[in-house]
Amino acid sequence: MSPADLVAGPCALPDAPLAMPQQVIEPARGLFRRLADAAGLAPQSPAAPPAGADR
Amino acid sequence: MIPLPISRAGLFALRFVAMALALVAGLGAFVLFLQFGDADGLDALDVIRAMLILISTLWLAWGAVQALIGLTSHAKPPAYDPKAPILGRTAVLMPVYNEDPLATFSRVAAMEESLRRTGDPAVVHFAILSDTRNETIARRELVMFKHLVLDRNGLGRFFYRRRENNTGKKAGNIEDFVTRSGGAYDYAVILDADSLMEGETILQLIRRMEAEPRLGLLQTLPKVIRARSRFGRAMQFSAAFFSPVFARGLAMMQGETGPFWGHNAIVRVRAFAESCGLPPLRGKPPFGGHVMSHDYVEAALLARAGWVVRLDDDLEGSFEEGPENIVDHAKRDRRWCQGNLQHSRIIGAPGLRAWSRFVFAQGIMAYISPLFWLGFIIASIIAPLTAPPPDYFPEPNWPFPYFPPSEASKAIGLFIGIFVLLLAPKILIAAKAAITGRAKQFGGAGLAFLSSLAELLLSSLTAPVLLMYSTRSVIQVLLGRDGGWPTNNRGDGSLGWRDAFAASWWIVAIGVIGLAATWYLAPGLLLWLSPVGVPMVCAPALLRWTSLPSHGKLMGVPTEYAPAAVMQIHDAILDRWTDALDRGRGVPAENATPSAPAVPAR
Repeated sequence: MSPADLVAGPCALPDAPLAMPQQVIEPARGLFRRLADAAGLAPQSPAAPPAGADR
Repeated sequence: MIPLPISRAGLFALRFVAMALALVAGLGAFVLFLQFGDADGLDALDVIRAMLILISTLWLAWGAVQALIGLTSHAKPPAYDPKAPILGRTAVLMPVYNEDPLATFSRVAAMEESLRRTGDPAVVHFAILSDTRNETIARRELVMFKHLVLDRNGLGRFFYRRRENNTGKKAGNIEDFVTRSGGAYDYAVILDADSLMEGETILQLIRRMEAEPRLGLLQTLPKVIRARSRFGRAMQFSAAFFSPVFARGLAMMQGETGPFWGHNAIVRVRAFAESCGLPPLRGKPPFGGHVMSHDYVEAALLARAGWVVRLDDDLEGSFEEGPENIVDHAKRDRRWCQGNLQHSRIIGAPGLRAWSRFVFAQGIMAYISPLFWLGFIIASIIAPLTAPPPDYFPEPNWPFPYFPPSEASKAIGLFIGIFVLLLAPKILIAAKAAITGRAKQFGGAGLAFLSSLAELLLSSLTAPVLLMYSTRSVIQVLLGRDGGWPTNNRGDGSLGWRDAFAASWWIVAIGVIGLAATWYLAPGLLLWLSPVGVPMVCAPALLRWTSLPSHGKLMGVPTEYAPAAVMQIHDAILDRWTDALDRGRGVPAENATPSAPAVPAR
């Protein structure tokens, strides 16, 4: 048996899948953004236009 | 459930006292410096320098406090049965990336042989997880893997796979194993390519996991082995002699939120799978993209999910190898620097334990603290430019000059205080080792003390050079730039003059400019700054000299006097395999069986 056959056959990793869900590892907003928000320095997103405004 | 070695209230009290002591030392330095600066009138630069000295001293004091806690406690094993039958299945994972297959696979063989000699029937498999990009090395891996399987009669117990893409680097490599094969195992011992572990240590790791169902990850304290150069042996001595005390201090304060250093540790596969899936961070590298220093993050995520993460520093028989010269050390540090600074994006992640956030902050601080020292030195050199001229006649019409009182004693006191914080922990560790008899393993109390002094001297000489590398790393990371290292060093780690100069000419230039500026602007500081400036000017010589082979008993460690059993097994296997390959037989088949596949002669 060649080395390639060996690792593709009897020495291949066992097939036993396990789910590994991705975790939340950073806050939705960064530190600077939160500080800016707290200090009222962050640019405000424009207010949503009233319904029917562009009619 | 295994109780904590310290009650929850005691743990919080210990953490509070440790932080308070470090804060008192930092504030003491701050006040002393302000008094010193006030002698000729306080200006903005004095306040800035006082702030810089506050942060730097606080960081130094935190390390010293950790050592003090370590000195006043003893490593004790948790309460469990060290002979209990093992029920779970374990995979020992060795991720490799372009490493020499002969060296790495022979380590796997040594650990398996060490396990076999215990006579324990526990199910322990070995998986080599290759992320190798170099095709020539990849082909050698296949050949050496077949040698390994034959040599250990390891069909069904040894596994190999190579990823087509090394997405996520080491963390991605482990994740790939878990998602593909994690369901087949209860525990996974995660190693590095240069890791070596006694079979008995692996068994005790598994038993400790089985004794504490809440335990998600158990970290050992690996000792550095097989160092050959002056720098490498100094690091090896430091890791063997000083690090266990610092680690003891850390273990006392860890609670259930211990560290993960990425290797020489065991994880509960189910806990790891549930808690440690790492998405790429938003944005581009260096702060976005894949998590580089994934180990700290995985420890924090396990703790967030309610699993216990523990460092058991009483466990022996866990080894790793280290860099042989300052350039290799700085290259590794460059990666760690980027990884730790990236944690600034993760430190605010929802639900993390407060101690995990503190650990991230410590990691970041470890890399930015040199900038505070550098800032202090630069501010001190330029301070005379901004200082007001002395006024010897502050009272109008008073005929006699007034000489302001000298506050030099404050500066000297501060200088001494900082030196005590730097040196005292190591000297106390040497003293305790002499009293308790631990120094015998290092050649006796006298030799251990001499080795400690030599290590202190060498680390003092190399500190300014390492400070410059750290500073450059931080700046590069902030600018999103690559390291740009010269690649070639010799097999034994020794550096030629050309490589040493190529890696440090810019440090020499900064050292010369810094000393010249000091001589011109603040000649009184020249003597004080020479311990920083002179090693910088001599950086190429330092790099080369410290990379040369080192022999002798100075900085000797226990594994040099009496190599561990698994090291001896590894040496024997490596010799046998090398001999077999040199003779062209290709088969180091001590245990080859008729059922094993035939191996063609090379």
